[in-house]
Amino acid sequence: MITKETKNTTGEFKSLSPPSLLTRVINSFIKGKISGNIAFVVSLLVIFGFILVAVAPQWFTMHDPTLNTLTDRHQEPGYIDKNGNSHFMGTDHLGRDVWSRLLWGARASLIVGGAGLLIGGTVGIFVGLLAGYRGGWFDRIAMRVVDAYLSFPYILIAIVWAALIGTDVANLIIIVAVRGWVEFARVTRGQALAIREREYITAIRALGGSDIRIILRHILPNTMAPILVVAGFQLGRLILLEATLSFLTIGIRPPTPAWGSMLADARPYLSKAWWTVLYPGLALSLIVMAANFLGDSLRDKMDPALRGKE
Amino acid sequence: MTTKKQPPTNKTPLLELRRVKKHFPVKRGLLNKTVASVKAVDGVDLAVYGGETVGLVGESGCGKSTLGRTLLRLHPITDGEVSFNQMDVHSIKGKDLKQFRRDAQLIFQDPYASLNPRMTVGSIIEEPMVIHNDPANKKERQEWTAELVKLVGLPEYMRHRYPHELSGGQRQRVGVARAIALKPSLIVCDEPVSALDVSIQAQVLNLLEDLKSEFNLTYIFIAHDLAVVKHISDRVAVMYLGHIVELANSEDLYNKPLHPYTQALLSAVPIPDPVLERTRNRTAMEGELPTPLNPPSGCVFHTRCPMAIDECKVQVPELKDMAADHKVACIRAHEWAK
Amino acid sequence: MQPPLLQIEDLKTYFYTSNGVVKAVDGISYSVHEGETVAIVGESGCGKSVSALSVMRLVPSPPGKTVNGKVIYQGNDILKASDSEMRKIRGKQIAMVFQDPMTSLNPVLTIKYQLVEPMKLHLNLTEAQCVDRAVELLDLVGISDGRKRLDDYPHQFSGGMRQRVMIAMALSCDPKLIIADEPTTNLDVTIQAQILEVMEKVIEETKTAMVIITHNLGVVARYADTVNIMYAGKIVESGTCEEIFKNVRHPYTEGLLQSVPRLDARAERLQPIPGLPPDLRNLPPGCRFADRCKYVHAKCTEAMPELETVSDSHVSACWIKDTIGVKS
Ligand SMILES: Nc1ncnc2c1ncn2[C@@H]1O[C@H](COP(=O)(O)OP(=O)(O)OP(=O)(O)O)[C@@H](O)[C@H]1O
Ligand SMILES: Nc1ncnc2c1ncn2[C@@H]1O[C@H](COP(=O)(O)OP(=O)(O)OP(=O)(O)O)[C@@H](O)[C@H]1O
Ligand SMILES: [Mg+2]
Ligand SMILES: [Mg+2]
Repeated sequence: MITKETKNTTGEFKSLSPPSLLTRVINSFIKGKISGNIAFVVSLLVIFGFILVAVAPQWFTMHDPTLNTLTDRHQEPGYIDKNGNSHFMGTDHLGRDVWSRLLWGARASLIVGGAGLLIGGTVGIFVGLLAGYRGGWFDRIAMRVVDAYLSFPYILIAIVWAALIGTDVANLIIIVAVRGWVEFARVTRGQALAIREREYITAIRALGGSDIRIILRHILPNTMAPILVVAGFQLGRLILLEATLSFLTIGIRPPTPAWGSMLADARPYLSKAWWTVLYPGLALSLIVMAANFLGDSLRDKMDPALRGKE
Repeated sequence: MTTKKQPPTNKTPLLELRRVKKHFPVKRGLLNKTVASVKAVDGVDLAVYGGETVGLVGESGCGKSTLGRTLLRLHPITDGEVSFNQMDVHSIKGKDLKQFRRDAQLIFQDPYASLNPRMTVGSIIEEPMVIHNDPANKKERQEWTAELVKLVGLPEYMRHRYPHELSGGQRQRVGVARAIALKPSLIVCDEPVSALDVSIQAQVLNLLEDLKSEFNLTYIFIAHDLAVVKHISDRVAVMYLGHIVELANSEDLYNKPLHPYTQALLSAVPIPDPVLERTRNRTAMEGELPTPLNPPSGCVFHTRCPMAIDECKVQVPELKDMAADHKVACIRAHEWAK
Repeated sequence: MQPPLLQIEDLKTYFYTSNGVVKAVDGISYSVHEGETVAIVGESGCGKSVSALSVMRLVPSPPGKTVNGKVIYQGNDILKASDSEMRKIRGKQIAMVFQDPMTSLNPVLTIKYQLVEPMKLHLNLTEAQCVDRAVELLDLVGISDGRKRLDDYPHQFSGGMRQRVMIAMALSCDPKLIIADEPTTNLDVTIQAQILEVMEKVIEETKTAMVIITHNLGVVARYADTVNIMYAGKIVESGTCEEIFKNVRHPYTEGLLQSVPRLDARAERLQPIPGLPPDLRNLPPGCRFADRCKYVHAKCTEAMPELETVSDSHVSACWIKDTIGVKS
């Protein structure tokens, strides 16, 4: 749409970098109606809160999450112990404070899920770009691998793998990352395939731009929007994977708290101490839901914003 | 300023196409077997001299864009040879190829699709300089960018805008600025004004003419609007189904077209003058463009030609000189050439 | 003289968007007589399509709304007609040919279905009679082996043939008026010539009136009886074809004529209209063409000129219309 030029006579040289996605999202937020943004804002707040808690759990609790107090086993929420400390989510089967275990458990989730997302994302984007832009044998192999991944329950592989190489945090991250790259590769490839045919790419080829330059400078920035959407969904998916592994006791090793292992520990006492199951379960659902909402609302926002519609 | 009808003074052409063919394979099935081929360009000879504008016209699908892109080596060539400054474009490597990428440029039809939506106008125009690292100094690059922005008639502040904030004509100016950034000698203009409104179209055409004389450019100007091609070209080549059927100096071509296809094409263009227009005769042309998957035998035009005789179905006409600076590929052309 | 078949009076259609009111059609009036071909000419975005859609009451709403005016068809105001009356008018009385035949033909239905269905709805004919008529119509628009091709799907036709099918569809219920919105814009000149020739022939035979929207002045010169030049939502000049081309009285029309290269003449240099059309959300108070006009003077930016008579068959909205183009 043709807009009348507003006179901008300040001759200063502004940065030539494209407007960041964040700016676009914020702009669309400011312009858009509030109602459409509630899910987006709330999920964003939840994710930020989660990150904050994971980075500094000690700010939110005074308890040591690994301290056993066998005399205080399975105390109900709101219990105040002999030292006058309150346990507002109660204690578990070893008398540990559920609230502080929950907070420290967030750290495990974030480290494994987040690092897995970063590594998997980077690899997946790279594979997708190459497969989409170059095509040929690399593309065919990469896409067969992706298909295989999506048609086979990865959890089985993860179990065998974890059993073979053991489960320190680094290994866990790798296991999660190896699951995480798939969707990134698939979406990025689709984007690259479409963008490769655009005329602005032909224009750069006609100018003699190298493949690397075309991929990194001209294709990658134009794939960022859908990649961000995938990242939202993947965060939820990978946190859930980590929790599943911990639940199966092949994840984070006790006594380090993790939501999955908290659930596993609490399972035998479900009828006796509901709070030991409820809170980690809720925390997990909340994060996964927030991540999915984030993905969803990013998808809704990105499209028109990127097409430059007002 | 734009002096037309300059006969090629320097005898060696800047660009020469010899029997250029470009076929696209049609693949089917699991094994990607080639089952047929689209003969988009099927044996084109053309010499383009420095400083001239050669127009390329023809109906949609006749292979104009494919020819333009093949001569720029954006597609691999199927057969034949393209030489630019006496170098074989499709076999050069390294420094020569890099030089060719500087000397030969392309301007696109769709001014929006050909600009990266995530880059500002300034960085789009600067991109060729960055790729070729010329000038190597960032400040000089930005000075030249600013100069180019002014040259193509955009206001200075538009350097910081994104393509979607510009109108069609303004976008096309950005495309033009990018094409001339490295001071090329040849520009292939692939329908640069087809997507624009008439008033904007005239602005861009004038700009192209001005830049041509300022930078001593050579244009290959592709369009399906015959009036536009006539206006801007010194010589015009008429294409039909992958072949050039007539090639002449633009006045001659429009005043006395010799190929029946050119005649039909010209008579189909309505002229904005009601008195003239309503008294004109039409040369009817039947049917539609045959598919380039399976072009007719002999003269490819014989299926639609009002003048066709039996011989046309078998004999492939050569592109031959009929008059000074006027080549025609029709076996009957001599009958009405006088 | 007979009363006009269609008479449009002070039609205004606005779009209410979050960025302001787009005055796409801002008070246009014209009339179409039986058997007449009226052209509407103007640059992209000046409101040509919206004006046509307003007549058919097909403007997407929201955001669009026809806020003022009358569209009098055979004595009745269409804008006041009920929905069911309107359905009887569309197709049966007034038919429309759209610019893009691929999106206006349904890709999953056969040509037969798409041609015959409206006939069954509007005409009292049996299925067999409808099919016969469909074949006749296809023949009329130059698709000869119609009966065989009826069972084809749109994608089996070329662009030019699809556009002819659209014309056949428009003609199928014997409308009194056809509104053709850029019927040949995406097509080659050769196909354009074939299609316009077909339309001309058909119109002559059936005495149908036509409104043709285009920005090709050559097409106008060949086919139109009356020409309306539109600029930024208004008609700025209107008259018979000869008057408009031979006795230009508006700087915009003059600019349009001078900016197209012509086959039959040789111009060393084109004379483009400088600048861009105004933003329809934010229109200047005076003449909308003022900032691009080479004859502009003080009055132009202060007050908007109204259409005033140049001759019996010619009006122009310009303060200095009497001094423009008189030389030619
Ligand atoms: N990449 C491709 N793969 C297969 N066929 C192609 C490809 N590009 C073009 N073609 C075919 O080659 C023929 C010539 O196409 P081309 O784009 O060169 O036509 P054109 O003369 O530029 O037409 P237009 O005026 O529509 O731009 C067409 O039949 C087209 O379908
Ligand atoms: N749904 C819509 N919402 C908002 N604005 C609209 C809408 N449809 C059309 N417009 C605006 O109305 C104006 C007139 O549009 P219209 O389609 O009538 O132009 P036109 O003269 O037919 O142009 P073209 O030659 O490009 O078809 C334009 O400025 C357009 O942006
Ligand atoms: Mg093309
Ligand atoms: Mg329109």
